[in-house]
Amino acid sequence: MLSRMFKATILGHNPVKEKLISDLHKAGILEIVEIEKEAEKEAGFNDSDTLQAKLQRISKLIEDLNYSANFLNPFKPKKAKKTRSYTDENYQTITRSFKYNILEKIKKFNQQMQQHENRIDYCYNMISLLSPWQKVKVEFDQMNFEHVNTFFGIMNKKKLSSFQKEIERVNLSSFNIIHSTRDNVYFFLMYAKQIEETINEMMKAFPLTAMDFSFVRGTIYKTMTSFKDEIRDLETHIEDIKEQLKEYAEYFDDILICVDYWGMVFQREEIKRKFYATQSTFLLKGWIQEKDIDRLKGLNKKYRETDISFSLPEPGEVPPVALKNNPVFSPFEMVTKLFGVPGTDDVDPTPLLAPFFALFFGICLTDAGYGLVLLILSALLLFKLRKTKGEGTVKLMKVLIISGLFTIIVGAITGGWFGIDFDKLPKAFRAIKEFRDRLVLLEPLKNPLVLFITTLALGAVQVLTGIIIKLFLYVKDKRYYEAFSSPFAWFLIVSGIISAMLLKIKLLWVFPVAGACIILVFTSRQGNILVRLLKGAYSLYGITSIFGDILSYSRLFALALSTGVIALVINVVVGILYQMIVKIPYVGVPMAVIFGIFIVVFGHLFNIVINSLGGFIHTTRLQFVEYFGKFYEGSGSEFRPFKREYKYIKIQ
Amino acid sequence: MTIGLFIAGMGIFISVVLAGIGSAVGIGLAGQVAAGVMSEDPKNFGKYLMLIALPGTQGIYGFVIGFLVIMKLGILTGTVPSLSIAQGLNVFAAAAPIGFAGLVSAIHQGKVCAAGIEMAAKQPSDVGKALVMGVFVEFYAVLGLLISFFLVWFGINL
Repeated sequence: MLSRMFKATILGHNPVKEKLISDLHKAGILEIVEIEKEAEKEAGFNDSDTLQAKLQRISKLIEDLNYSANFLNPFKPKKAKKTRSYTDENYQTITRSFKYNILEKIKKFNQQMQQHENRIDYCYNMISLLSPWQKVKVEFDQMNFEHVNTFFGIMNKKKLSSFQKEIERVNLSSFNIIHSTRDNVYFFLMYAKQIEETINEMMKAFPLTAMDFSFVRGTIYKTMTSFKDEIRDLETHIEDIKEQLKEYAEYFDDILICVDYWGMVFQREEIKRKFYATQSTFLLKGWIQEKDIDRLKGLNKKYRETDISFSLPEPGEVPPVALKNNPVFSPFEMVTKLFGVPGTDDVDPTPLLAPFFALFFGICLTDAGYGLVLLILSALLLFKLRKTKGEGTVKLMKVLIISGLFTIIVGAITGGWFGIDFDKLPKAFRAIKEFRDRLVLLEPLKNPLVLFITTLALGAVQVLTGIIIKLFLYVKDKRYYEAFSSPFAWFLIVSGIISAMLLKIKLLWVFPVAGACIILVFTSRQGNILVRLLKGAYSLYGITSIFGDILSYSRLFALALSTGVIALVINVVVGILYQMIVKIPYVGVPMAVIFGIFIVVFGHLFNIVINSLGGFIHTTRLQFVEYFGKFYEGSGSEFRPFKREYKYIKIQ
Repeated sequence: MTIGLFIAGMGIFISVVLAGIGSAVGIGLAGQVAAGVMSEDPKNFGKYLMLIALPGTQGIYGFVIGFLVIMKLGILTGTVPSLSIAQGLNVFAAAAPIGFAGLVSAIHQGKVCAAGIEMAAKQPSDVGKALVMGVFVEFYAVLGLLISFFLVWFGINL
């Protein structure tokens, strides 16, 4: 069901503005819409510049807080609280007493650390640059000769021999290899200054990398050691900073609380942009659900300086859409929202998809034991997360609980209990086997065709349901012609063909033929008879897609089968391993039992998780493509009330 | 061991290994993108996990068929069956559809899921749509599984 939307208009005096915004923010029932302002009025009365500046200041502060939180994150105490649950009063005291100057200090620490780390990187680079040259024992500061030039360089080994040949031809030079790796040689060349030009000319022909050792003081080795010393110094310095940061990490929680607090303030200030304001009054408009109207009225009663009125949307106005369903169906709103909420005048598909969804999910698992595990696990998770997680997660857990229930039912009918092969159970378990047998209607592995056809039949049911819903929607809109020419005709065709084939009564073929005739003749209302017939024939071709849709439900059978077989595999593997391990002397039996339990538990858990995932996604797809395709567009925009949203804390 | 049994074994090989390769490649593609996206924004791991796991099902389908063939041949009971060449080819043909359908569909599903992860990184609320798109590709592996299953279940007579 769609919730009925009303438009609320609140007019008030400025003194109560802040208080009212705060109250609305807390209540979270009104989606405030922007009031369009004429340009000159905006210039005259709206203090949008100061508001803008304020917003910028707040977002700068939030940015700083986030920055500090990110930086402190690795230093926070291990036993940091996971849930930060506070009362409204409580957490505002924290934000008020928070010392904002520590942000500046933390920033400075971060900058220092950054500098140190950069310098360390530089030192390491230098060391790796120098290390091949360690053998050069000269003091570089004193290497300034009157008649001789020195050259240090790196060259590819392939060119070495030709280079050496060239060098040998020039007198007054000496060539020494200092270090060589797989690909490169590190060499030292000395030559008389008078042949500088010849040497330079010659070296141009070779791809060389010249080394610049002007930064080296003393020997290479000495310089390397001094870099190493520097690294050690810097590292102790960084450790010092980290020690100090551990003290600041106490504030980690407080910083996150402040992030949330200022985020909330930001929302509260930003919303003012949507108001219409004069020097002493303000006006705001917003959408509200019918059920919340009294709450808003009550809220407003506190103030004498405001006036509130409610109205239905005017023609042309498109209100946002809020879904309203009973507690059983409402979790499935999550599935609807994945696709898109309905338009204002559309039908809410949630109750229409819920039973199919749960049943199809159950078929994908077809194991009562798995259903039970899923039910218990999601109930536990729901209990644990209901306070800290958002609406979406809670709804997902509830969907899984309901689907788990269906899985138990489907599993009992198909006789799946953790993939146990009941025929091989010892006689002692006969009572259990009899109980299980009494519930069984069909066993997938003994009679796979029956389950296969069942899934297709369920598919036909859902596709036909979709067509019928479309029929109803057309009738509701009084579009009888469309209702007759499309969904009605399709219903005749699909249901006619299926029943004629199942019951093997030739007379029943009258219905699909009649349906086809309707589509042929009535699809198009315009043009001459030939064009109309052609258009009809074209849309009649859609029959292939409808039967393709029904075949698509065969995936349920495939998923059911793969879950069942894997469950079986786990048990078989455990059985074989058990037989093998038991034979080990002395420790055999306890080891086999422990090993067996381990594999059984983790194997089945894995199977449940992977197939629940597959089941969920495939079931969702069947709703979206095969079912929604018949009647639903999901073109609405979701109702998003102005409300407090926290990232890190939870208000009790 | 008869040649027939060997050919049947090749059928098991085709279904398990080809579908497994497909899944491994598909998950690899999606996993790499997820790791890249998470290096920017470590949140939403759970959402990406679903998209990463999606191409993994083909490998499972291939394994299911391989196991059913083993079961059908009676190898689990400890006896080694002797098959004629025709019987072996029969088993091979039964196991092949899921192998090939799984191989190609898992790789392409991996690509769709990788793109879906990129989409989910920018629009976290649209992860459902990304999943549905991935499932479109999966259907063809499902069809391969169905045909292989029926061939194995009803088409092998020893």
